[in-house]
Amino acid sequence: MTLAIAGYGDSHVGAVRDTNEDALIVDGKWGLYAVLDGMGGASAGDVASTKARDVIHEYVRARRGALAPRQLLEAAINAASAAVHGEAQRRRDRRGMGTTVVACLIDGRRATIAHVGDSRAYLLRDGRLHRLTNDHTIVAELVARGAIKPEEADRHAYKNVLSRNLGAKATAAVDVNELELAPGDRLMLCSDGLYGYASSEALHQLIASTDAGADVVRDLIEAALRGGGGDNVTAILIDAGAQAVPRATVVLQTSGAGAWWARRERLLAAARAYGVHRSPLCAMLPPDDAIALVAGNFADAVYHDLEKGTSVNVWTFVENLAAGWLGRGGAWPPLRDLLDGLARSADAVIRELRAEDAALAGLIEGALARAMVNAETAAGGVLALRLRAVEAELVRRDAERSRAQAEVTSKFIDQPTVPFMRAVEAPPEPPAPDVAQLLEGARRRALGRPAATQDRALFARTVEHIHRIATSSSEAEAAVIARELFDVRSLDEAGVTPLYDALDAARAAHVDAVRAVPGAMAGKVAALRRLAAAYQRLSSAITGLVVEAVAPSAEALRTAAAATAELRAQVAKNEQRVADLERKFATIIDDDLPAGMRFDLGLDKPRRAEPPPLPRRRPSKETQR
Amino acid sequence: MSGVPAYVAAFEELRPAITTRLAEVRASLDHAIARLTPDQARALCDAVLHALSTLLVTGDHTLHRGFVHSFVALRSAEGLGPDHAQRLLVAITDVAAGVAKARTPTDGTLALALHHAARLTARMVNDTIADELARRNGQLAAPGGLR
Repeated sequence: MTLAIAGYGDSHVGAVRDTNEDALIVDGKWGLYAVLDGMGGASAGDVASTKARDVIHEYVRARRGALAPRQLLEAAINAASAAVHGEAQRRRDRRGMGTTVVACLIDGRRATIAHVGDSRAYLLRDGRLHRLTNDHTIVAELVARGAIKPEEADRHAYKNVLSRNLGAKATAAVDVNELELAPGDRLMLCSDGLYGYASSEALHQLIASTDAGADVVRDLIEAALRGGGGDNVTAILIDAGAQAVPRATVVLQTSGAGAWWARRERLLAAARAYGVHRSPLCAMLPPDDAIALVAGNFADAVYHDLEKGTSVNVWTFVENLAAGWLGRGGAWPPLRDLLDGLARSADAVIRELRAEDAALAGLIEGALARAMVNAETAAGGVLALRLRAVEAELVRRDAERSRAQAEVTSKFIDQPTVPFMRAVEAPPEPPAPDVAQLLEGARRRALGRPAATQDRALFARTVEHIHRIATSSSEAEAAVIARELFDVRSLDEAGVTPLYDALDAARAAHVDAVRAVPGAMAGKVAALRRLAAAYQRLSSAITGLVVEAVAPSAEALRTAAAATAELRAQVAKNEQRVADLERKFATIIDDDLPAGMRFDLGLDKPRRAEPPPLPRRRPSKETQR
Repeated sequence: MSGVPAYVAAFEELRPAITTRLAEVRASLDHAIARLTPDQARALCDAVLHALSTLLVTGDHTLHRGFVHSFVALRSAEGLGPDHAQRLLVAITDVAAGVAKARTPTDGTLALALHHAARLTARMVNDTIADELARRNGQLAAPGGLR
């Protein structure tokens, strides 16, 4: 059975640039969809992308059916690369131009996706968003090799430097994926101007909405523009058959959104009752304005999310709120309290609605609960961003200070802090007799079970240690035991993995044993709680030791990274020098003259010169590049 | 088990289905988990499901906070920021809620409980990041700008 495929695409110049160097193909007749992102400056970027677009389009139209989709797309992209490369060679002002491409060819239910560069393809299936392409950038390759951390990639100075593109050479190394489409699937192709300026959560929420494809494309582009719009933005959405919208979603979109909207004033009243207007975030506003601005916008965001079947509006609302407040140096607790106030106000509305229509109230409650999860992750993103900025500033200051001091006795990196390691509060007293009895029974039973790990002895020791921590009231117990268990280990799979395996196996065996031993439910819950706390304390303490052991290597890596940065700066300087030399000694090949004869034309006024002396006739190394 | 909400038993029953579903969609959970082997990914997801199960059974926030701290610390050692860890925890819980909705479409109690658990987890990560941020801000404000 074939699927009814429908594609929608649009492109926007963005909020900063003057020209749009992106190009796109949306051709339902031939099942061809593509996004291209040109580069090269001096208006060469749009030349590259439009030329490649035209070549790919023509190639596919001319040979559709003659070649298998995979070979067809690969050949079309290679033809485009040759065309762009040839154009760049012919025109000096277009040298270095190139383009990315992500193209999708649909044949029945089969989608073939090919890409070069950092334009991406995503697939939404069963509510989950899958990225289908890996960026061809220097930074992505460094991440893949483990040279830098994934989170460093977003802030890396070379994050936009491509490792592959169309036009650099006559042929391109194309990555091709094939997949079988299922009814309700959504494919999205985009340039980096979209995913670089709209968060991945926003992309997921918008693509997963039940809106028509054209509306989703518009919303995606708007999300990128709201995020700064620092680049050209292009997006194509391809729907494979109609989405099967669950009945509950339909009810929410119609009755749910209507019921919520009808109770907007009730929400504002509840927000006032919960003191939302007294939040420090609203300090400069009169109470009515504060309620209208904060609770009103929250109510509107929830309404739009119910109507569209997403949570992107609540997410955006909280992200803006958090960015504004934390950006001004505000602390987290007032923001947290404000979010709690809004959540309680929404609960009040749901309680009222439950008396009238319990089923509908249940659906709205579920949607709101999910939206509040998004609210937390939106705030988390902003908090993490602030944390990274402050850490970067600390590192910068430390580097400055280190340079200033001839003899550094206490460097910042010499005493690495271990972030996010907080000891769990220990139970203050030893377990009650019945719980102790249960724990003892569980210990014996766990030791009698076959170990789900290869190192039986380590497993048995770990079971004993977890038992000791669970029955002890000493906070230092876990740290001492962690040292004993960690002993002398190599920081690799042979060293650390068996330890964590033994921890996992001991935890699982203990928990199963508690469930199996006879005893009262309350006692079992208390025993489970003590065991889980013991496990957490032990694994935290061991993790602390691992992080501590890794610290010297981390410092060595930092030193290597600094050396690499210096080398990169040197390379950039040399490249600049090469470019200057090329401009200075620019030459072209005149087709009318015998092959190999090169003439210096100068920069401004082309003129024919006498053939240079024989040794200089050979192109210099710079011109060969 | 008497005294424990019915959705706890439902969650335990659905654990195998949730694990299978997580293995199917692991590439969409996070770019870091996408690079793990299926066994490694399964172990990571199992740890989160186990913590969720404990939270649903005991309702003990202190215990859950301990798990969240360890999880964030481990991901930090792997080079992932706390916001990445937060999104990963939420994504795993989301998949569990999705399975619950699909298997029991007329009873939303388990899915709702999982959403609340996800919010609580995300909140705990935010508290952790905020603590760290306050400490770092203190270092910035200290004389000399460090420590």
